[in-house]
Amino acid sequence: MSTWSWIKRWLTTTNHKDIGILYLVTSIYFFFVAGMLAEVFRVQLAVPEKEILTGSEFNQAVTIHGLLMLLWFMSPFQFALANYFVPLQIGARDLAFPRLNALSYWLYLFSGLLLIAGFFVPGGAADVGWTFYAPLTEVLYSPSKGVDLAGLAIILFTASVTLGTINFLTTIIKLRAPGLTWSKLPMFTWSILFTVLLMLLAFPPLGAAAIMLVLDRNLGTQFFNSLEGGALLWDHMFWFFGHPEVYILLFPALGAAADIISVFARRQLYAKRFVIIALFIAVALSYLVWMHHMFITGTSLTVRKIFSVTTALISIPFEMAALALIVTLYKGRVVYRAPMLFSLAGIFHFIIGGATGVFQAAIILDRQFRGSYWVVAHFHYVMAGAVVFWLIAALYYWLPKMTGRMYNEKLARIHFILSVIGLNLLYFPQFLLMDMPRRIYTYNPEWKLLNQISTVGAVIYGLSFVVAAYVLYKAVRSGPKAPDNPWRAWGIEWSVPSPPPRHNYEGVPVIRSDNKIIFVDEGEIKRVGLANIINAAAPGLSDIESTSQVSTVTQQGSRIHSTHSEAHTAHHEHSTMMPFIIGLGVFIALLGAAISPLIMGSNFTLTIIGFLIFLAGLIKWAYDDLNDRFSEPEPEYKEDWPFAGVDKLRLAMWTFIAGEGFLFGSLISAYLFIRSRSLAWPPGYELHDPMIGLINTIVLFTGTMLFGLGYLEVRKGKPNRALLYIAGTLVMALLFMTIKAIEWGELAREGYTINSILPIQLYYTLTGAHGAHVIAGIVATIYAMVKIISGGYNKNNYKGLLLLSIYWGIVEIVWTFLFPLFYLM
Amino acid sequence: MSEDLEIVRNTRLYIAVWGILVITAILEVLAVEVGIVRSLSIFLISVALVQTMLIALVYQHLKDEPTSIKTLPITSFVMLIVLISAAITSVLACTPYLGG
Repeated sequence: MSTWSWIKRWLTTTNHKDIGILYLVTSIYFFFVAGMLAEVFRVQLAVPEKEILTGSEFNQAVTIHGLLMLLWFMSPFQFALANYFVPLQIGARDLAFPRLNALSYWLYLFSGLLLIAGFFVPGGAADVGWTFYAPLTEVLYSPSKGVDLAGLAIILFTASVTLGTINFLTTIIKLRAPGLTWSKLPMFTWSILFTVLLMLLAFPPLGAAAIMLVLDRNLGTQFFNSLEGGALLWDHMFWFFGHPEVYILLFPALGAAADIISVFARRQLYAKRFVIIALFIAVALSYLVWMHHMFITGTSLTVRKIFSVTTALISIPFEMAALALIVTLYKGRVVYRAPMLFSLAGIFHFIIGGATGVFQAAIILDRQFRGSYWVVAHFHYVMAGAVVFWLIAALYYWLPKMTGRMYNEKLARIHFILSVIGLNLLYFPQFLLMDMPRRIYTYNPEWKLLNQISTVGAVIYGLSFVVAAYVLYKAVRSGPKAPDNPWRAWGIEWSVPSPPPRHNYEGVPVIRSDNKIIFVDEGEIKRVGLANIINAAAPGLSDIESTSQVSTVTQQGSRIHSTHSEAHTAHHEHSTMMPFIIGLGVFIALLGAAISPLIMGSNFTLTIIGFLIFLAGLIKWAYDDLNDRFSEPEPEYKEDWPFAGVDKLRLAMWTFIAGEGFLFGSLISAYLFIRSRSLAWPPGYELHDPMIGLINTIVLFTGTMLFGLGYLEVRKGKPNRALLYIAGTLVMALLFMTIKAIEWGELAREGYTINSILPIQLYYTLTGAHGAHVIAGIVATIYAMVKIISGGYNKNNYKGLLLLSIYWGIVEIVWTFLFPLFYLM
Repeated sequence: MSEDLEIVRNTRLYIAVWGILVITAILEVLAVEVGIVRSLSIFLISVALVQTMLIALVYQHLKDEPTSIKTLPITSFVMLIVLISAAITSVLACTPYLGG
């Protein structure tokens, strides 16, 4: 393969395993950068009064270390594994939307590069701490463009996460193999499902907060720099994301550990059903604990008490999960291989990290420990000690499947020993440094010894990853060939060759009622009947070869053939460079927006170039759709209760709508928060003309109604009338935007610009975000019209129009709240 | 019900809902201009909620969706209410302007 072919393959791939590898490599790169930053500031802290880094450089290192580790390493690393293994574990050929998956990856990569680009601008990278506490983030206190780049990076990362969320949710719900009921799902897939449920509602508030921060810094709004909004508003928006984020990071690693412990203890996970219920309860509770991060901010005592209780409550599901893992080991025939060793050490660290976290639920203790190294030790025991250890375990566990090669067990154990010693030396002394404030670049000499021990630990911990890199390199380069199922594990992924073929499976994987996995071709299912196959009653299918203790059947033992070449061809045709092009365009546009003022004054050529690249990618994407290049029918045989009868696109759209609702909900929440804290807030009808608002409201209602009528005409088989109605929608949407533009112009002429007063700032921000959605709707409506003209939408195919009507619905719903809030109240 | 009949009914329903949405929007403005309601905020939020329900059920076809799909927007709506209520009530008792 020539170099260009190799590069092109990775730029154009949409295969879930390739995307998994891309996520893996990229997240390891970000881990390396974040780890090096940590090593540098730990060396700085080895001795008091040391100045390897200046105060600002220290802050940059700490900030970027935190952001990269949490957002750009841990979650993406877990989603690398999820990308690779969730489809394999549920018996799917790929994720529900492969192109979207590729786009999600490229947006992730470019968002990370945007963050790191901060190191190369004057003033350096963001230095405000990973929590971005206001008003430190305001341009007055942190003028560096690095903070803007970080804000934009977070917005882009949120977009990537939203796409990934929709994709995984749809895949797990809609593409499970026949017979793979919910109770039979591996814990890792369950944990990914819980994670995306958390992400769906937790990330939009972060995105909304980041948008408002960028506006504050660049257009002069004062959301986080005013008495009415300020630090408290940021805290709410950030921690509504921030606390679920802890579980977003924890769940997939915990799920992987549960599967690994179960396999290496040679027992099914103890009380699996209760663990799943417990984790589901934790998902719900995780949205109700965010204010425990705000005990010292002046929230009311009643609220503090409530959140103290919910915080204590949320520890219970995790105690249950930890207990289930330990009980699984009891009476198990434990095999101590590297994945198991890392998993067990992870439990040990998790208990230490978890127990020390419960202290923070108590308001009094929280006041004492807040901002100290105690907190640093607590969350690093959970994140680095539990999550990272479980992720390493998962990597060793699945490495043979991904590469087809075994790693060196002896070297892996050296890695393990170094990791345990390094981590505990690094973080345990920090519990004893409970008097030392975190985020200081130099310190009182009385803390010297403990800091030195901690730094020695950091060096050993860092070295352990050098060993890990060598183990991986050696395994990939010259490791002995791995069997298909080296651990005698159960789960569908172990029933395919190592590494798995590009198309995953020959035939349809079916999980029988006796838990055997067999592969059957569709003709055979039609002949015998799926129910008979699942119930193991199908004649002639009883001679399947069993290769493991729990009856996993390898593909070689199955009776299936045939679909290989077709599936392979289908995958090959799904290659496209558009996700990369769109990601690149957005990256250039945002980079240009942030740095142009530094290098080109008010010349935004770079942004325009980026936008044009983005636009070109989008048009080509739509063109491919018009030509039906990427359509793939849903598998005929699958397990999709309780969403049977709902096609994957509709489910995905509703998921997207839930996220969008939360984005606007967060912005409206910010509006209400600011307004509720203000003494003098002019009523909306004094600032805006209610009649103009009413006209625009009716215009929007009319547009949505006309779209509905157009949709019905397509169903009737009358495309010309449908076009007429949908053109009406287009006209109404354009009219809406025109009236809005005139209104904005009028306001600006009266001196009410975006940096004038808070009610106006919020008006521009919320109606601007809504207007952006109207514009997106206009673009989508034009596309729909082209597709009707070309015959793509017709009496038998109108799914896309249904999706667009759902979209216009959310645009209208948001306006039904913005109209009274801004014009009438 | 045949598909044709369903389409005809939906057409009427779409237009009827449009009528209700327009009338309620006009009522909102009237409530402000004429001052006919005692608690303006509650009235306006109630109208917005009714409009939301109509749009979701009819224009977004939620009425035709299975319960599993209905759960998605309803859950997120409830979560939103929790977020908004908690954020606002957390400061009412301690904001420097309002005392407490």
